[in-house]
Amino acid sequence: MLKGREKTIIHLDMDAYFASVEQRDHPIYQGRPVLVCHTDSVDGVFGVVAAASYEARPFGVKSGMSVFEAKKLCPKGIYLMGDYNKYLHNTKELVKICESFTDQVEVFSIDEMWLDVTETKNRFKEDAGRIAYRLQTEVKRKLGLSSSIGVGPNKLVAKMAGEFHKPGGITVIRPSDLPQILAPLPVKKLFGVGRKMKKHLDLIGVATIGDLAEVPEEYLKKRFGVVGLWLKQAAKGLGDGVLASGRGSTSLMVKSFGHSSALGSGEADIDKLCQILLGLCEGVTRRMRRGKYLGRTVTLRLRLARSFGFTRGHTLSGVSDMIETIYPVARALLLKEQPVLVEYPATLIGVSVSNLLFAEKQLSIFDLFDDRFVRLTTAVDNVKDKYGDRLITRAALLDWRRRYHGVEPSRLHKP
Amino acid sequence: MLITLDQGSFLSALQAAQRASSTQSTLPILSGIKIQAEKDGDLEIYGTDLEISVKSKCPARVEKPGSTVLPGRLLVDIVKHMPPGAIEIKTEEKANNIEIKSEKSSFKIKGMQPEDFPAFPDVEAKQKITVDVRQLTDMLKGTAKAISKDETRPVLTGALLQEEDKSLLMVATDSYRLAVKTVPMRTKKTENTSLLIPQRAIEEIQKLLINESGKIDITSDENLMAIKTANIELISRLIEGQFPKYKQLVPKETTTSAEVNKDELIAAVKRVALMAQKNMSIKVSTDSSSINIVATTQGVGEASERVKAKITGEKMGEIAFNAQFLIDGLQAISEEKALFEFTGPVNPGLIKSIKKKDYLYLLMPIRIS
Repeated sequence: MLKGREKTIIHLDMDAYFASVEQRDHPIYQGRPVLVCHTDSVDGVFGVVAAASYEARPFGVKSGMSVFEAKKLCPKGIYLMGDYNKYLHNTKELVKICESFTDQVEVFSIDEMWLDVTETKNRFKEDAGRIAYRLQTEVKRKLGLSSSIGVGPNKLVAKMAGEFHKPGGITVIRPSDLPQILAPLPVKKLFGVGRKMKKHLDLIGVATIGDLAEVPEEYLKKRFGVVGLWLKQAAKGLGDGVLASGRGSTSLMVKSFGHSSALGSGEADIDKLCQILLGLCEGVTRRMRRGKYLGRTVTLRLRLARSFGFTRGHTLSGVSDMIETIYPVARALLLKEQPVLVEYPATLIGVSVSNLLFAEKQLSIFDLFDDRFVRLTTAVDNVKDKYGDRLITRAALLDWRRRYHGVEPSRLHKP
Repeated sequence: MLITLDQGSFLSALQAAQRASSTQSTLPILSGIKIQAEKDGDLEIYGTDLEISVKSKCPARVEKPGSTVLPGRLLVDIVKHMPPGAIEIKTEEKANNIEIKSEKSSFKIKGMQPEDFPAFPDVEAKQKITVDVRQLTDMLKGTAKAISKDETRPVLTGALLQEEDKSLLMVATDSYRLAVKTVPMRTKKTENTSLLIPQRAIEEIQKLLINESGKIDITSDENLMAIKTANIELISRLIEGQFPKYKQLVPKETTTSAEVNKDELIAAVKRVALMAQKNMSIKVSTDSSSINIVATTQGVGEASERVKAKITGEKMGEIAFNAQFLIDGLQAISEEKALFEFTGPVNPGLIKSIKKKDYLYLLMPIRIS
């Protein structure tokens, strides 16, 4: 990088996002443990915690935990159903605020974004820390929400900096301070190093980011391929500074539709798995049709006993929102894994459709030959919209909901 | 083998054969070109990927007959770069080393065993279609673009050539549009032949016919078809399977019909499509005297244009089409004016030729909500 050309990237992360939005909108929840859940009904024990307010964290509740577990840890918490349209709307406002600071905004997820403020900083001779402070105050003033900010020379460092002081902090890492700050941190803190990668790194005796920076590049490359080279760069605090900015609000678009089901201690019966998969595909395609999305890539996700999970994908020649197209593909992907399933029963199965197209479908001449499926699906969707999802179901799915709706009911009553 | 031939005619004969040879087959021999010199005859050049096979001829002075297989791409490149004039090809029989010489340059390349090269297929002429070269060219041009590139539906990866009473039809569809070109035939046939010709063969036949005129024969048996000019013979496998029964798809009646200058509409669609950055989707509607085209891309902008047209029937609301598909259909019309017909936003649109009534292009709309 040329001298004087260092980039200044800000990473903005909303603190306990969904929970904070609910606390803001319902002042009565303020100061109390709020848990926003991803579920059909908060009275039940199904679903997972999508966000926990900071008040709930001392109880040991974390996002991603099942509602059942969370209720055991924090019985007096306020359990709410997530209102995703509200959060999405809120994020759009957030993006607008960010875009008033720079046109280079990359929306990473519903509550995280990167801002390239290099230009802002150079033009107005403003210190990066001050820009970050202005941004944080603006978000608080306009949206009433608390955020954590990290500032660094690239996306990677900015994101890691943001983790230092949460909630409500601002951390600036200057390129010259990089080695001292990064080296002592455990590798797990490196953005992009997950549980699996950590395991691999443990094996070669790498515990801290400093250790990783010492490993010869050739070795990492040989062992991890391209990822190895990336690791080496990342450990030295060198990362990609280019933001996938584009239109901030368009990158907020839905990227995929997915449903998955946990299968308790494991399921090896292929017929039952196919049935569950059919049910999942039904849910996915119905949500796609409701949102007027069509998808092209079908991905099957499996987690097998002993926690080893993987995905298999297939891309269709055209887009679809019909179960008649999506399910056979997902099923074919599942059948290919049958030999593995005999030995390692599946503990989770999921299907998702990505590569989405919104609201436009190129019709095919085959739609003219036989549109009975389309007409049937539309009719069933209309019935469900009017009288509820459970009124009408496929015969093949009759005993499905009873069996696998999160956790088996028989286990729930006797914890 | 020892032969002498002319660089120019050797190159064009080689190129014809090389297009049939395979670049990415697991069988290395298929990337080769076989040349065979008989006593007192022309040099015969063969290329094949087992789907299509080409035999081309090139006049040569054969001093010693023989045959060999050479790497196709390399051979074409060598001959292409040689200066015009005489080329001499000589093989050392034992080592299968081949020497190619022009006046000043000399190449020595390793050949492959000619015995390993697949035999040129033999087509039993069970059926024969005789057609005017110009008419066949028109048929190929009008339908080639509609052939599907998607291997998941093999029957759509070729064009259907079909005799029907006193006419000959070529039909192709990629399931989004369907093109039908009809030419009249003099004689009424008792047995109606129907061939499903793969896209690659369609492409090669087009090239083959460029300098031809008069009548040409297409012969076929159950699996293969053959077409032959004076110097080149092309044999292709036929696609197995049942082509969709397309006739029932073509609406007998439409509610709106617009007679429009073809070139004006093409130019307008091209301009407006600049603003259709996602999916190439443009919206078409009609009022009493024009077709209106609109394209919008959110966050980028929009474009619109009116094209004068003679409208009969009801006013058409909004129907969306893929701009490129629409242009492909219009371009296949050889007359000045075209007929563009619709019924509703999810019903197919039709593009027809007016005078000769020999072309039909059915275009499926994009469903917008």
